[in-house]
Order: sequence, then C-alpha cells, then structure tokens
Amino acid sequence: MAVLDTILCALIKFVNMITEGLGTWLFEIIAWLIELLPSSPFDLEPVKWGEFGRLVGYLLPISKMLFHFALMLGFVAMWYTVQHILRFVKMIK
Amino acid sequence: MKKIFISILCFIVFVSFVFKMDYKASAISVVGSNALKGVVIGAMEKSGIKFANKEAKEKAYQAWNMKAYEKWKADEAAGRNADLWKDFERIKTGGLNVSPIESLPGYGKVLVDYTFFGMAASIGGAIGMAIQNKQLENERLKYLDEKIPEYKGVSLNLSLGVSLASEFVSDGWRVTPVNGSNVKTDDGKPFSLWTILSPFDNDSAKHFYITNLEVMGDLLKYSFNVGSRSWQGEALNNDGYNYIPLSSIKNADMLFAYEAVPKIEEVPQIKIPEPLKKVIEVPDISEIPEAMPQKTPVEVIVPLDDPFGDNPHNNPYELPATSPGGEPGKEPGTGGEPGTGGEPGKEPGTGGEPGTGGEPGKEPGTGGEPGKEPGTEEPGKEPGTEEPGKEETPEDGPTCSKKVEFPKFSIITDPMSDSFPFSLPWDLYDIIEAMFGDMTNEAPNFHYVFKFNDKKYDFKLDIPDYFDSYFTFARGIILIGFDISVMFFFYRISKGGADE
Repeated sequence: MAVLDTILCALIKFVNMITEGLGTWLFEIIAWLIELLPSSPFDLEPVKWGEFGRLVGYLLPISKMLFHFALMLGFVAMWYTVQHILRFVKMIK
Repeated sequence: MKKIFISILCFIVFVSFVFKMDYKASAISVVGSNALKGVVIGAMEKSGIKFANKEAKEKAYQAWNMKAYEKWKADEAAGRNADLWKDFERIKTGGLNVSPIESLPGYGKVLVDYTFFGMAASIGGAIGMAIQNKQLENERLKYLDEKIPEYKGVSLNLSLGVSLASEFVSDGWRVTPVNGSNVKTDDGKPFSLWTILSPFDNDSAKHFYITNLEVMGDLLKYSFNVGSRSWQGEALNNDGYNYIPLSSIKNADMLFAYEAVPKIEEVPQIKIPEPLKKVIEVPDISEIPEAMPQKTPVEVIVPLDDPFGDNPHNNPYELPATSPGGEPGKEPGTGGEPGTGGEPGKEPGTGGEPGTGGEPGKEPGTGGEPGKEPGTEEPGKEPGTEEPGKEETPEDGPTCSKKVEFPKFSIITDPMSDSFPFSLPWDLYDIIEAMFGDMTNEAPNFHYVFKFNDKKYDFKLDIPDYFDSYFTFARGIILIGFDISVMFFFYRISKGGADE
C-alpha cells in the first residue's frame, strides 16, 4: 500500500505541476487578452423605491423572481444555441 | 397627425403652466443646489476623499452645506452680505415671488432664496477656480521636480503660462497677429489673434497662441499665457483689446508637450472673495462617521491548505518538546493563544491548547477538527488517551495531499466581469440589482406627519413582527409558483421544445 500511495502521490504531484504551471500560465494569457477589451460601459445607480417599494418587496420577492427569470432565460437561450449548432453540424434535423 | 396635434397641445399646456405658476425660490435654489452639489462633491473627490456610495456623498454635501450656512450666518451678522442682499432685492422687484423655507435648516435654508443662489454660484465658480489653480500648481511642481533645462528664451510662469524676456525678443522672438487678423467682437471691439514666433527653424513654440499679452512694468518682459481658457486679453498699447477666441485656443498645443522650463517668475493668485474663502475649503467630515466610507466588518474564513508551507522550521516534529508533560507527537504551544486552552481536569501544558489537543495524525497546529473551537474537546478525554499507533513520527514526513489542484478559474472570470462584452452577465445582474435591489424583504415602516390646527400628528404604520415568518413562507411559495409559471411559459412559447 505504501508503494501505491507513493506512486499516487507522485502522479498527483505531476498533475498538479502541470495544472499549476501550464494551466495558470494559459489562464494568465487569456486573462491578459480579456483585459485588453474595453471596460463595461454601464454605470448604474440603484433605484430607490421608497416605503411603498419596500412594501411590494416585503410581499413579493421581485428581485429573486427576476433573477430566476433571467437564469431560465439564459438556459433557454443556451438550449437554442446548442440546437442550432447541432443542426448546423447536421447531427439533428 | 392626431398624435402630433396632441403632443403640441400637451407642450403648450405644459409651457403655459410653467410660466403661469409662481416661482418659488426653493424650486430654483434646489436646481442651483444640485448644480453646486456636483461641484462640491467633485472638489472633495479631487482632494482625495472617497465615498462609499451615493448616501455618503449626500451626507458629506449636507455637512458642507451646513458649514456654508454657518459661514453665511456669520457673514450676515457681520454685515458682509450687503451686496448679496442688494441683488436679492433687485431680483425681488423683478416680479418673482420668493418665499424662504424656514422649516428647512441647512439644505433648504442655505439655498433658500436667490441671495444664496447667487452666492452658491459664486462658491461654485470659486471652487472651480481653486481646482484649476490646484491643477496648475501640481503641473508647476511636476516641472520643478523634473528640473527640465531652460528653454531658449521662454520660461515657465505657470504650467500653462510663459514669460518671454525682452532680450530674447531682440534675438528674433516676435509677438505678432496671426496673418494680420483684425476682426471685431460682437460688441464691436477689435481684436487680433496673437501668436509668438520663434527665430528657430521648426520650433514648435511658434505655434503657441497667446493670451493676456502685457508688458510687465519695469522688468521689460512680456508675459502671456498659452492655451489659457480665458479669452479676453489685457489692453495693449492703447490699440484696443486683444481677444483670443476659444476656437484658436482649442487648437493650441499644450505647453508641457515641449521642453519648457521651470523658471518661476511669479504665481498669479486667483482672487477669491474674502467671505467665501473659508467656505470653499473641503470640510473636515471625519467627525461625521456616516459621511465617511462605510466599512462593515465581514467574517472571513481563511482556509489553510498547507499551514506549514515549505519552511522546515515549521514542521512540528522538529520542535523540541518543552513541556515536561508533553507527549510524543504533540507539540506544546505551536499555535493558538496562551491561556485559552486547558480545561478543568486536564494537565496544564499538555492538552486543550489549540494545536496540541487534536488527534494525532492530523496536521498539528490546526486545533483538532475543523469547526471545532480550540480547547473544546470532549470533556473527560484525557490527553494521551488517544489511539496509539497513529502518531506521526519524524520519518513519515508530511503526507501527500492526494488532491489534484486545478488552476483557479477566477483568474479568467475576474477580468471578464469588467470587460465588455464578457461582462454582460455581470451587468445583467447589476442591472437587476440596481433596479430592484432596494425592494428588500425588510418590513416597511410608514411614517406620516400631519399638521392640523398648528399641531403635529405622527402616524407610524408598521407590519408587526408576528407576520414575518408567515410572509417569509408566502414569499417562498410565490417564488416557486412563479418559477413553475415561467417554465410553462417557456414550454408554451417553445411549443414543448419541438422543432419549429
């Protein structure tokens, strides 16, 4: 068992060496390329809804509902994207 | 056609209404105050104050405003506001109905009428000048630091100002109108575009456009500014006025693009009205903690994957056992605070201390099981009663982590969150958060104040805490119902996911 442990340990160390070295290096290059892009143009200021807005927020979880809706919308968009890609490569009709 | 007609009608009604209504001083002063707020906050930010959020800005501005109001009151008591009051009376005779708001201290009263609106505009202007002055001073200091060698004949007066010694004029430097231009201003005054011509070939200085050309007394020097924003020059030799229109100044090259010179002749002073001098100072808002950036302490758990690192001195098995009661494999005092461990019934110096009382075989110094407070081992468990055989000996060395560590994906996602267009998902989150983040689940508190027969009546409408748990449950149900309805919605519009 000790031998197996040593081999496993060496293997993991080898994989870690690759992922930490090469992977991090690759990630850093990609990050550098991404940083060349312009920064986000949105400058948002929070909307104040006042006490009535709070009342609505107390009764209905508006913020969470919108997050869930956006998330589902993202998944649907992803589904359609995958569908179109598969159709493009003629895997499906 | 119908829509256009309705739009025009609405516009006419709106404009008539605006011009028909009485002008309240407060309405216009608030406009002035908003304009001033931008200037004040800008001045504060330029002076290095950082605001955590918009509320902090508001509070800082209110603090500034209160100080301005106190200053105004002091000036009023000393009779220094005579000119402002004169303006006020003049405007009042112009037919405008000015009604001060007595009930609003600070924000309301400071800018309550045209008097203070005029003063606010003056303060805004003075602050703008002060900021510009500060920037010029910074540029000047920058030149001083860099010790740029003297440029031929031209010395730096300020960062954007140049002085030209008369002896260099005789060497061929000339100040001439551009292409003999001699046109008139709107009010009929003749003016010329002036430029300085260098005797040296390909000298960029010849492209300087100048303002404020004047002879400096007995010094036989010509002083002028380059690229200044002031468009009206001084009188020169009784020939009229030298005006430099903005269009030419726009094209003027910045002086610090050239090898100009830090020979300080004099630093012009921006004249600030005496009563306003203290007001334009950035107030000390350190006494108002809510105006400063908020730092809410957040509990952070820092995972220690490898607490000993590569430092062999940190390896516990190399440390000598100093405690006489210490056991093999346990190192006394390798971590934790002294005096926190040692439960009753435990021998001092052996167990209970963080990093010593854990089970052998675990990494020493981590204080036993994760999440377990140091010194909270089961009572009655005497140190030394742990299973033998699991003790780590020096020969074993540190054990392998047996965990593949992938590079952190956050290396990529961190810059993505701010790089357009990859930032769009984060932006979407921010948009929703900005739009509806204020609609929290906190119970609202309605507070109304009514005035009746010169008496105030306060009404507070709260939702009792009793309902909190019910509403939490109701929100959960509503959320699930909403999710299901959205699923049906998508199902319907996508026709069950079938091909179109």
